[in-house]
Amino acid sequence: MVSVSEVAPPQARGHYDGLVRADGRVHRTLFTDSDIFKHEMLKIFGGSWVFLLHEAEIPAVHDFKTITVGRRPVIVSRNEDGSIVALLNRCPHRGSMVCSLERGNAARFQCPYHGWTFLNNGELYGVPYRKGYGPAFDKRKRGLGRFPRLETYRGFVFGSLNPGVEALTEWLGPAREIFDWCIDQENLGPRGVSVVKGMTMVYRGNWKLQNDNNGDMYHAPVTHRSTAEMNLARHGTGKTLDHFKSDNNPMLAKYFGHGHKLLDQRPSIDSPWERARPLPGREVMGDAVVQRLGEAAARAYLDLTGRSGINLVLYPNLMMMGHGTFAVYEPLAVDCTNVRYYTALINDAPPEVNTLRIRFSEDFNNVAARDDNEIFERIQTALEDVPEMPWLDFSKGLDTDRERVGEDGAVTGNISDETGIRGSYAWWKTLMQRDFTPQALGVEADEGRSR
Amino acid sequence: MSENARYLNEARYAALIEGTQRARSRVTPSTFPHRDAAEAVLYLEARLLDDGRYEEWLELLTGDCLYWVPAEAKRGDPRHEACVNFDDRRRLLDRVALLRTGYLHAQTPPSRTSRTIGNVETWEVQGGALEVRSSLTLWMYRQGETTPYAGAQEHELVQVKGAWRIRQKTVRLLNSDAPLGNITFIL
Ligand code: FES
Ligand SMILES: [Fe+2]
Repeated sequence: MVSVSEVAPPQARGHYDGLVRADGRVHRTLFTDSDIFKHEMLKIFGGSWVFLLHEAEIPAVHDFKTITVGRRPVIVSRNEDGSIVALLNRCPHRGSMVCSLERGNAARFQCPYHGWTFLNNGELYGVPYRKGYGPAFDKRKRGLGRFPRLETYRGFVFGSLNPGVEALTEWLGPAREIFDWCIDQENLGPRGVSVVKGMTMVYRGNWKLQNDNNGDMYHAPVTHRSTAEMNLARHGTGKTLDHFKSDNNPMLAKYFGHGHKLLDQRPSIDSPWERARPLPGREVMGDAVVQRLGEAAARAYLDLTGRSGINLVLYPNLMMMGHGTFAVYEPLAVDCTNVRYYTALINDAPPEVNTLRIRFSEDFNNVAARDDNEIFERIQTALEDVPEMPWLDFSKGLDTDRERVGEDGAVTGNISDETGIRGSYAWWKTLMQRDFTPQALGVEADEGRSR
Repeated sequence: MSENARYLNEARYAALIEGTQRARSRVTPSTFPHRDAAEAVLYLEARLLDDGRYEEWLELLTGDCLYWVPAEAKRGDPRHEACVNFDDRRRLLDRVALLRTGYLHAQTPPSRTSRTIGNVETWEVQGGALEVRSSLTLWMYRQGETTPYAGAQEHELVQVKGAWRIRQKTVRLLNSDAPLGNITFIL
């Protein structure tokens, strides 16, 4: 079998040490070089755990959803026995994408070109005019490639094409505690959550710009100044972003290892409900919940309709926003990225609470996230066009007394420090230089180049 | 116009969803009641928005208006769906205030738009309101690039002190459920 490193771009081996430096500088080619991008799709999106979907997105037997994993078209399907598999959406015959629907319910998939049919666990089921194939034709090796590793962690489904990838809990490491906290927030009733699709944005910029940004509080008062000023002028103090005016505060930036990072604004957010911008229907729906449940119980629910103050980035592609909304980064090209938002609805919550959660999820996206996208596009353009200035600087917090290493190995910095982002780039380098043999079950192994 | 935050209640959501279904199930031709008035409002709205005259545009909207841009192509219940926009008057005023801060980077420089409204059909509905269905083609220019947007519009017009006003505006973009770029301007 050909290992991924053999098909990597020639300049890649040992090359990355010079591009991600210990002094916090990162080279512009990480954002602009399409060979590096292709290599990332192999080594990061092909070699690490990658978030696929929440299992509530495919609740019933035979439900499926199509996604991309490092550009590869993938079908995530729930089988007859309730288990979930991730399949490469590429016909083993002559390469057509097999399923073109975004989601649906199907026990089998039929390729639209010559009609090979596959069970939704990936196995080849039927081949038209089968007699035309000789005795060497092995049906068991002509299935849809299946991810060799797939694990569901409390509803969140992760997959990997690297059979030797570390155990999922090891990969989560000390980030697990805060990931649990986010999930516990929604675990109010026994019937769990449903997931609704939120907005999807596309920007002309590298995927890491969004990943960096979700571990960056430094930018908030400047990039989102319009939001802060509008809120202040229209709704007075105490609303979104009003809690961050200087970096002399108890909030934290954190790096957990394995690329995972956190902004923890919880120490400065007393009540998400009080702090939330006035959403459409807030008063009427809030009152209805209070009337039905009483003040205390209602408040517990209503606090789930605003920002809890968590930005947790699980590397490379999942961001938990801590109010039931999560984002998935989907790289399309070195300079093009989708960001897909989803919101978890609490099945046992009063309907008003879920509606307000949806209204809240729209709010930040509509108002503030657009400014982030604008900045990403400006960065992308300037990085591409200014070779005389090759470096980006992520050194904030380095060599100061603001950063400390905890017993669990996590590094904590001030909320405005680039602690987490620097950690992610160190991990990026580790992944890009890690050797492994990619594998997809059910397909002929190693007949030629795996690229 | 005053800011009343309490009109978006269960009944209003229900009316919105019912109106959506009604508009969709129409198969008979329009007899064009109040067509001239409806066209005048829609064209004026298009002109005000293209010219960035948002404050004057807000005057065309009632105190209990809704502006809805679904993010789903088929379904249509904003209680259970995240939307590209779902604004009551208060959030619309926020949006306009945001555009006016001078610090909205996504609108620095601002989008220039040119929109064409066509296929205008009208129906009289309960309470003297007018349901207007039209097609929207919009070109947006910004930073050297021109981006097309197209879709269907549904307006609910009501008479306020003798003048037709917009109580409800829905814009169904063709690509509503696809990844969208910078739409920080008003559709
Ligand atoms: S390419 Fe799929 S059946 Fe031929
Ligand atoms: Fe931001």
